[in-house]
Amino acid sequence: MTETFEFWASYLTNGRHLNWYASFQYTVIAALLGGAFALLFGIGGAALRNSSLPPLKLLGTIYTNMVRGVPDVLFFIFFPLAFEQLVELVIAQSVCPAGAGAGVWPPCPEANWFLGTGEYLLLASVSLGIVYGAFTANVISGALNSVPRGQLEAARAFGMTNWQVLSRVHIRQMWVYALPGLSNCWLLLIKATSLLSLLQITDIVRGANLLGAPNFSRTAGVIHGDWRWGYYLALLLFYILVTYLSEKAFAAITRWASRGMPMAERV
Amino acid sequence: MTGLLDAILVDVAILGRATLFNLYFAFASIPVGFGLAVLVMLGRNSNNRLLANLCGGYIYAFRGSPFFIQLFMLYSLALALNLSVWKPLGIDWLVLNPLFLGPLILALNTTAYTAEILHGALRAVPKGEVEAAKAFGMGRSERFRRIIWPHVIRLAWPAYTNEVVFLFHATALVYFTLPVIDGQRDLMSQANDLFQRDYNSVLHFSVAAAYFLAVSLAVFFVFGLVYRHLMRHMPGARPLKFSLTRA
Repeated sequence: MTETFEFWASYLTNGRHLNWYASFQYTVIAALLGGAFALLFGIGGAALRNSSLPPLKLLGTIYTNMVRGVPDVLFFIFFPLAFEQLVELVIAQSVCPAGAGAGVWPPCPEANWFLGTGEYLLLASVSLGIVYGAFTANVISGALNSVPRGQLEAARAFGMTNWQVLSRVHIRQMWVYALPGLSNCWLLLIKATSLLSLLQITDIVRGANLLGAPNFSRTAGVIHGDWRWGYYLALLLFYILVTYLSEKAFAAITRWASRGMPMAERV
Repeated sequence: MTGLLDAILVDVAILGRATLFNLYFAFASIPVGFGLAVLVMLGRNSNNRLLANLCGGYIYAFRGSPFFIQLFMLYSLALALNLSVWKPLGIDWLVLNPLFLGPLILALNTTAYTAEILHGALRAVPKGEVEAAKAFGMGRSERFRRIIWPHVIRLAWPAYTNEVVFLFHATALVYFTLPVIDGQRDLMSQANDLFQRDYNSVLHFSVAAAYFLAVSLAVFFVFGLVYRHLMRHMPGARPLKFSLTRA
């Protein structure tokens, strides 16, 4: 019994496992940063869609609808790739000799832009922000339309300017109506953070794959067989736990945001 | 200009074949998932506490975790059981084939989401109609067949339409996990492969996105027609509206 315990205690705290535990930070950073970008793009998208200028309105409508028909993973992979290539194209204009590199990428070795984990993490967060910002924009745009007209008319009757109505009444009251939808977007976003390994980041998913793979050593022989399913099960439970905690947190925020608004609580 | 057009046409042909794999995954998993979801919904509403909690737990676990991790988990589980279970039974060639395992995992996933949608619809069935059916002397199964189910399917249809589109989008992840055999590639895998060859990200991913968009629109259209048929007794009913987040 104690031997089993000692084995697991030392196995689960070896250097490779400690590195794996540390890689959870990438998932957390991507979720938080991605969430912040999503909120930013969401507000921007909602503003565009409610804009009175036709071209801006069209842009907002395209942005908020793009996620309807195309899977998030396609955007998630495409945006960082396209951005990296755009930067390399710009660099190539100045450093590459004319006519270099037909059919190869980058056009010449000097134009190669090396991306480390930090850069990829930032690109992944922005990418998550753009995709889930489109979801968020829909939620916010719907919530802005849910604020009772009477509240806005009352604010105007008090002599508030358009900006004051927007910032003091409209956006303040919008949150209560937006929270259930924002909660949904956040849950989708944290599930999408499992895709980080597709952008060359050694995240928890790739770590689980490396740690669980059959492990041999020349001195000790077979240490363990294929344990990958166990590691993935641990990740599954991790995500379920995060979902559970997020739901609790959003319930608490909703209670807080709807205090003093007896009508809104029933939405 | 004709060079670009030719490149697009080549992509349309190659990725058109790849789309068939996404369509296969969706068509193979949706009926199975729907059937299982009806059972899980019934279990979730059963008076047996253990069964209800088991079904509730299944729904929560599959909705609360990423499909990507579910794919990895179930695939590695299938691999780990290979020598001890599948090989002796002589079915390893079937179980470990992506064309079998992919739809199986997709079906398990969509079962949970669909069961949640159906469960929500079941709770919204008007109580008075069920009581009236009881008063008419209808038995349990007749009540379910003639009163409850028609309500459930009508209430659930808009959300289920959405779920089918999301499931189709989820098929894009299958070949990031499961091995590609004999060049059987789906849209994302094929687009990635084409990108590795000539690094033209904009062209390949745009054509892949267009295929996803076309199939999604077709699903919305067909399911909209079905919804109109389901609501034919209510001429003033609102047309199908789609929400953006998975239920």
